[in-house]
Amino acid sequence: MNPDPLKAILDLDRMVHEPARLAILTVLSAAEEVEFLFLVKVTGLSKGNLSVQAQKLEAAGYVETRKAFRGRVPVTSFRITPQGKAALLAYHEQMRALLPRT
Amino acid sequence: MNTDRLTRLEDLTRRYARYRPCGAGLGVMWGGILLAALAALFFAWTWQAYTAQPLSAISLWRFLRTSNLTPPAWLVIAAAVTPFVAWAGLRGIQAWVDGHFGAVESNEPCKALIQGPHWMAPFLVVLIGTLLCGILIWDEAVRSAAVGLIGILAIAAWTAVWGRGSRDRLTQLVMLAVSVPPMYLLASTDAESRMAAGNLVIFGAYLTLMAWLLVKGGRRFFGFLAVRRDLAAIHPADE
Repeated sequence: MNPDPLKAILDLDRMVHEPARLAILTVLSAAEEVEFLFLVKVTGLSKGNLSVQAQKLEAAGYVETRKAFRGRVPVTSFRITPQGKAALLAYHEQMRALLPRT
Repeated sequence: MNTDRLTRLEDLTRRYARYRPCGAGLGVMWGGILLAALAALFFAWTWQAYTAQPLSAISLWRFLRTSNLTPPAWLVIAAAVTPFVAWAGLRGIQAWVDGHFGAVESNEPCKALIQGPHWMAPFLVVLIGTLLCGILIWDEAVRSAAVGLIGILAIAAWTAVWGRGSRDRLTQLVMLAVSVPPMYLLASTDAESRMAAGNLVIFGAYLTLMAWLLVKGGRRFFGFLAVRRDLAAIHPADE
C-alpha cells in the first residue's frame, strides 16, 4: 500500500485515468495501428465521444492520427506514441501501488 | 474501469489483428480457386493434345515428356494475368473485411526463425523468375518465347507490389502459390523446353501447398468469426 494514498491519487495522470481514454490507450497499446471503426466497435464508445477523446489524447501527445482513403471512403487510423506508452505504463504502476494486494 | 475489461480489450485487439489479414482467411480460398482454375485449364489443354495425337498406346506422361507442346495463347494470357487478378482479389476481400470492423495492424513480433523473414516469399518468386529467364536466354529462346519472357518479368516485378503491400505470411504464401506455376507455364512457350510434364508436377506441388494454406486459412477464418462474435457482444460504454 502506498504510504500516502491521497497524494498518489492526486498524482494520477488525469489524461489516462478517464475511462474512455484509458480504453483507447489500452487498445492502441495492443496493436501497431488501429482504425477508428475498430475503436468504436471494441470500446463501445459513440463516434462523437471517441473523436473528442482521441483529439484530447492527440493534443497531449499520447496518440498520433493518420488520415487516408479506402477507395472513396475516408479512414482515420491511430497509433500510440512512445510518450503515450510510457504514460499508460506509469499509470498501471501507480494503480498497482494504490490497490491493496489480494 | 476494471482490469478485466482492459485485459479483454487488449486480448480482442490482439486476436483481431492476428486473424484479420488475408481477408480473415478468405483470401486463401480466392487464391485456391484461381490456381485450381489455371491447373484445370492446363490439364484440359494437355489432355486435349494427348487425345488428339495418333499414337494411342503411349501414356499421357510419356507423351508430355516427349512432345514439344507449347501452350496456346489463351493459356499464356490466363497464366500471365493470374498473379495480378489474385492480388486485386485479395485486396478487394481485405477491403470488404476492413469495411465492416476496421483495420488493425499487429505489433506482435514475427516468428522469423520458424517461418522465415517476411521477404522470403517475394524473394523466392523473383529468384525462380530470374532462373527461368536465364534458362530461356541461355537456350537462345528469347525470340520464340518473347511473350513468355515478358510475362515472367512482369510477374517477378509484380512481387514488388504485393511484397510491400502485405507483411502477412499467409497472404504472401498465397501469392507465391499463384505466381510460380504461371511462370513455369510461361517458360514453356519455348518450343524446345519440353516442360509440359514438368509443369504437371509443378501444378500438383503447388496445389498441395494451396491445400495446406487452405487449412491455415480455415483456422484463421474461424478464429476471426470468434473475435467477431465477441465484438458483437460488446455493449455501448457509459458516457
